[in-house]
Amino acid sequence: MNRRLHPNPATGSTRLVGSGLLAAGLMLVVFNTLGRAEDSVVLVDGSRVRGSIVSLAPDAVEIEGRSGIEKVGIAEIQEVMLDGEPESLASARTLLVRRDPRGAIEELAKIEAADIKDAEPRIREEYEFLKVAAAAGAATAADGAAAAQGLAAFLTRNARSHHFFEGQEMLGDLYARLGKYAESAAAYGALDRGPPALRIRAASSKARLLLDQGKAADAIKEFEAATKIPTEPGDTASAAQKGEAQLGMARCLAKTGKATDGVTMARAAIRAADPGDRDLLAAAFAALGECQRAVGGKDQDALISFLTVDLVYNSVPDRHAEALYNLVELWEATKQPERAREARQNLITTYPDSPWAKKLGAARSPS
Amino acid sequence: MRAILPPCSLLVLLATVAWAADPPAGASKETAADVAARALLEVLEERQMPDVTLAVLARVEADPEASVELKREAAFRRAGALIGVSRTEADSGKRAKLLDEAQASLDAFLKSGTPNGRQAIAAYTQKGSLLVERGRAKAEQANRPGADRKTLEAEAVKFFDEAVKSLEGKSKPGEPITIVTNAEDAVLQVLREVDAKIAALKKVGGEEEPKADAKESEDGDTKPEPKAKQKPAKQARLTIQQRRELEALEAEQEALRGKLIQTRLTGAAALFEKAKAYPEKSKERADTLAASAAMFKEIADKYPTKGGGLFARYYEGRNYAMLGKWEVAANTVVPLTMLDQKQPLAILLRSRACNTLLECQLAEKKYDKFDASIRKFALEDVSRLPGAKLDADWLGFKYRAAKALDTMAETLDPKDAKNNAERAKMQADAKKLAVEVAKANADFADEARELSAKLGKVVEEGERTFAAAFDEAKVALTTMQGHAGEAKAAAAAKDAVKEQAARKAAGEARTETVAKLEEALKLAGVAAPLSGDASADEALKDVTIEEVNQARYYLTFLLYEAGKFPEAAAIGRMLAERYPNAKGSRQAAKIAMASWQQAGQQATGEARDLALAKAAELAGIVMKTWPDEPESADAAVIAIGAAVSGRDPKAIVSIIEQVPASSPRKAEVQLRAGMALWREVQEARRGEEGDKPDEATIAGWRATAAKALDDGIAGFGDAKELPAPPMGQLAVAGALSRVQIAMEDDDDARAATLMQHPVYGPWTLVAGDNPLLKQGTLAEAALTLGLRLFIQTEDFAKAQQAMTGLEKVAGQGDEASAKLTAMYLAMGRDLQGQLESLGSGEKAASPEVRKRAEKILTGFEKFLDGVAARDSKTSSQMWVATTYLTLGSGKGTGAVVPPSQAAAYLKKSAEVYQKLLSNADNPEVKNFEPSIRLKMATIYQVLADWDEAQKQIDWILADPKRQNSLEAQVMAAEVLQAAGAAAAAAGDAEKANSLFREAASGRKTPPVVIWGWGNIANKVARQGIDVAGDKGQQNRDTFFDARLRVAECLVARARLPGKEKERPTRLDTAQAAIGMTRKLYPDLGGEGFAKRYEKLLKDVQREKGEKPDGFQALDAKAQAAAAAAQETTGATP
Repeated sequence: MNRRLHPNPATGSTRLVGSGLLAAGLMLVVFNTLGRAEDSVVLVDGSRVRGSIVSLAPDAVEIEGRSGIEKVGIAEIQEVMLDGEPESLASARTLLVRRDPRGAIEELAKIEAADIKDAEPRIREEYEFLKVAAAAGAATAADGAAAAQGLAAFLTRNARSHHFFEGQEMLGDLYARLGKYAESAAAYGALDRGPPALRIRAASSKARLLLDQGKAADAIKEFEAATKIPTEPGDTASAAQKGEAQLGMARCLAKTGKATDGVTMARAAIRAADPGDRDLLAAAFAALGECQRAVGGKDQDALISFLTVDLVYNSVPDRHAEALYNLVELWEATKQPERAREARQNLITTYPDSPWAKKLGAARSPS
Repeated sequence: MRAILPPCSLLVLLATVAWAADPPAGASKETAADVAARALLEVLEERQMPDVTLAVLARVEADPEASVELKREAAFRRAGALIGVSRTEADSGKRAKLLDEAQASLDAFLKSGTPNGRQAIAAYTQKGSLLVERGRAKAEQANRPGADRKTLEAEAVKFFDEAVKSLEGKSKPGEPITIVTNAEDAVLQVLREVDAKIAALKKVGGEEEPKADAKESEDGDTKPEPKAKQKPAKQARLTIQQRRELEALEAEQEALRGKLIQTRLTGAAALFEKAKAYPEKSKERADTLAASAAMFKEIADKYPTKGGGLFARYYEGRNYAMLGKWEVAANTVVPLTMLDQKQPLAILLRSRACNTLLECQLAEKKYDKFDASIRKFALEDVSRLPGAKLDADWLGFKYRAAKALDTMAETLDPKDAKNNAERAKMQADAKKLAVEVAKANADFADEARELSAKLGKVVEEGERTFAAAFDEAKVALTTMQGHAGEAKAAAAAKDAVKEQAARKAAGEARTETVAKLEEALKLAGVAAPLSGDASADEALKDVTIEEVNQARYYLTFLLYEAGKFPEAAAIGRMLAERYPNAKGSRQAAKIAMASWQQAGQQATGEARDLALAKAAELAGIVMKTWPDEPESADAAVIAIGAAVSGRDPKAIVSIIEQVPASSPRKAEVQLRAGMALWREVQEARRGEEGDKPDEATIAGWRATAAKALDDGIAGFGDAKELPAPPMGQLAVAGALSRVQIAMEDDDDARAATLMQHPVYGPWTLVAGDNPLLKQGTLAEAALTLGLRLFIQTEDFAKAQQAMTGLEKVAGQGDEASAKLTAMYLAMGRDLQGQLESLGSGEKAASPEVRKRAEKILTGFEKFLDGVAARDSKTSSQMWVATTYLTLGSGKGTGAVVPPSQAAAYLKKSAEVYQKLLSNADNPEVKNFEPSIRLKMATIYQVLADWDEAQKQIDWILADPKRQNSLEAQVMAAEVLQAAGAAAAAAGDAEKANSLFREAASGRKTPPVVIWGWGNIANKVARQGIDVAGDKGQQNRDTFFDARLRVAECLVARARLPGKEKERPTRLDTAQAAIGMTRKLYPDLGGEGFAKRYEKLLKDVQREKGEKPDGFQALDAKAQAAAAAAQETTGATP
């Protein structure tokens, strides 16, 4: 399960016929009328599968609805909502998805110990995961090691959790923030055991690690390798991940003096994208903006690219924060201080903990 | 008062669908790039960012892969963006041009082929709105004083007629629409297509076809809906896809009906606006209002339950009210006054309808009709109503309600005790409403203030609270603003009596406001409101910190206005530091900075320095707190001012580094800072060795100054014309400083480019007779610098032009020659500075530097000799002489001007001066003979021709009127001291002794009285050495120099051979003189002088055989003396 993955109806799903929107709507009416509770699996396209969860595993979730048991691949899932979980638990999960780990910690603190103690095991496990995940998300250099240890311990104890791959990726992200690149790469490596979309994602994450270390040429190779991982036709989640890897290559080109090639690559990705794939388009326009800035003399083009992310494709927090950061600089460069101020305010208030907000803060601090 | 929503607001309120957002029907499949571009354009339009829209459209048009549909839309979208850009354009001419362009773009789009239905709807609607806007602009122009009303009115009417043509349909019900030429027909055409598709689908689903006599679809308001239960059954025969298609079509049908109403409303509104373009009470106005009323009525009758229909009903009533048909108007809007829904649209309509109803009732004096529910509605807190704001209609409504209540209260029988409670309630409500309107200080504010003042006397006061006092303060504030406005108007009308009375009234109202605010804050628990006290902020009484801070902000402003600067500054600073995010804090901080500036300007001495330091300190806080706000830019300018005034180059550099890239006044700050820093560089170079910063520091400042000037000049970008003053002057002054630096760098090409830049080039402007550079120091600087540059580059034609320009700038009359000489001297100083700069540093003796200096000198020699030979004008000869004097007398130019060459220049200068003096009959020469002789004395002094120098001085001082000339007396003392030194060196001890004595104590023998250094110091001290400003500084420098020279002369005399007997006494006297000066003036006039004093003291100590401890010895002696005194008296220190 991963909030940043795209739907993959072709892989891992054994959804039965008749579970369309209308049927789901009717089910909702019936269940509400009867006052019966249920689990719910929210897919990355926003739709939901309701019923009673039969099994939770790293690669898939099985849920029994009125039409029978349906197996949903982990790459398709945005969120698993458990029947009987405290409201604050669900809120904390939502906050975590929105990249607000501090908010999630505050929300988790509202849950009474007794509520968790008496809850069923899967809810206790969910609580445990969210606690360590939020701590990892909010960790700084000072408490990063402890947070990483907590998360790693959870993943060792719960190797069959549906959060396993997500947790490994979070662990990799945390190690990367702490500058522990080898540990980070190892954590991302765990995703290689997942479906193709996750394998591509793992390769892209490793490539980004190389990029962070200034090894742009190696990063390009890693991104290229990601695009070559074999996938099934119709595996849209993997296709989207490959698109992201291609955009990663474009960003590498921007950093290696080949920004014009990067622009061409990003534009090709946009042309080839499904107009409805908002996440990919967010990444594509952000990459295009970065390449245009790297070319030099194309501030107005870059501004339009980042503005497209800000105003049209703003549902991916990382990309939106990146766009806002760039817009602050570009509006300033184009002598639009009010707009720069607005973008800055938006970045600081919406993504206060993002690296982009911190980068902006650092740039503003008197030396 | 605004009586109608502008058509664009109507469009916003009634718009139900974003037409242009939909890809056109039948369009080819679009790529993600097309979809993204269209979505971005939509958001940009919604967010009103037309400038960015235009940039995106330019890229769409240039993109070979963009879809044909998207490109086709570009013309239409550009029109919308141009209209948007025009709204922020202040220049009416440019605005009209943008609107012309927008209209042309729309017409081009409409003519480019048959636009599909949705595009035609959007384009004709846009065109109609644009024309209404243009008509309104013309009507406004027509109403301005002095306007050609008739012509402008005719133009406005034409625009409105065209607007109606673009909006109003031509087709008749049932007739097919083949050619679309307006918005209404465009909507109807699409609506009919949609109707037909719906009917066809329903037929497939099994529904019966509509009967032949059924109303057209456009009458959606009255069309019976199919029975809900039938729908699923009937539609059961449809496939899922067909059902979805039907749902989408029905949604579109509904939206089109909304669009149809919107289009018709806009057409009627255009007529309403057209009516207002005609003069009041004219037949045309009445006829057009009647036509507008009829149109609105038709819409209202047709759509009685829709939002658009209700709006139409309201405007129908407004038309009647404007026609003075009070009863009809009241009856028309009454149903709207009873709307009790909580939706923003219902609240908006109800408030307007109530306002119109009360207007009618007051006009007809029907106070008894004032209904209780309307009274309750009037008393609502508008900020709590969904979507509502206290606009002109609400203010009108509230004021009229207050007026009605007051009148009703007065009509209650005072003899009947039963009425007392009701009367009191009515008056209290009326006062509340009047105060609210007065506080808003917009429409009806004057009337409301009058009414609230009247009611204030009759309404009983309850317990005093912060809220009550604050409300009263706000009303008093609006009263003050009203009087201030009256004063301004009276000043414009040159009615001094009225102006004075209004100013007095404004001052009284301000005092009252301050008192009320102080009272309010005290009631809130703030003990000392005027001192910026925030100690009780954690425990405020029944009031929020936001309200308290708002009151503080008002106080900051009012105290500043009242000239109470320290108090204003204290509150402003507290807000900036403690509540930087509070509303008004930024403005308060700005006022606080201005307060310290004002306090500084009005003070002297330490008080002045303290105030300026506080202004700079506050500026630093503002720059750190709001680095990217305009206040920060203002702060940077203030901080620069303080740093410049404080002669603090480090602070200047720090400000340059701090000013944010986004600061709107960055260019200004950079230019001011760059110029100030460049001045500091020049000053630092002139400092005494050991008393000035090291070369690396000066070079660093110079580089920073050059960069700041470059960046500041670059801030003007591609400006086509010089900005308005003061930025215009600043740009020119900045360019001049940069030219000086470039000339120093031997970069004549860059200097020439800057000088002759078409926009801000000083030479371009001065040669082009630009008004900014016709007179004044800027013109003088441009010409003198130009003269130097063109001489250097041997462009003698332009150099001659510059000289002519200088003569012109100097003007005519007695002062002209002096002015011209001063300008030549200034130029000479700059030239000298340039040569000194070349002659300093490691490369001073390098061949390149010598070559460069030679080039400059050759250029000057050639030009000067040419001028001396061909131009006999006194001014020209004076210039030649002063420039040679400059070239020959530079103290730091030795490395580039060899002594022999310098002496030759001085001789040339003396020759030219002498030649001038030989023509003593010339009145100009006669007038300036003393100055010329003073110059000659300087020359002969440098040439060690003491007799000749003394001759010139004797001539000057022979006239008792000139004996008080400080400049001449200083020169006389200098010559005597220098001659003494020369005599001593030549072994003539007696002569030297006599000259040193006269230099120190003066020469008292008439007719020529020379003061000598001692008397010079005394006289200067009497003039004041602690006064602020340049004069004070000059006096200080002269005083400490003169006192030092007295001691120098004593030491020199002590050293003379044959004077051994007097030696100890003279050395003791010199030591005592230094000690006394230090005791009286511990800083000894600054670090530079202190070093010179201590050096001389050490010399004396050495001569006396003491340890040369300098001041340390003096201090030790003083301490010993104090200890001895203590021992003697037994006093405790």
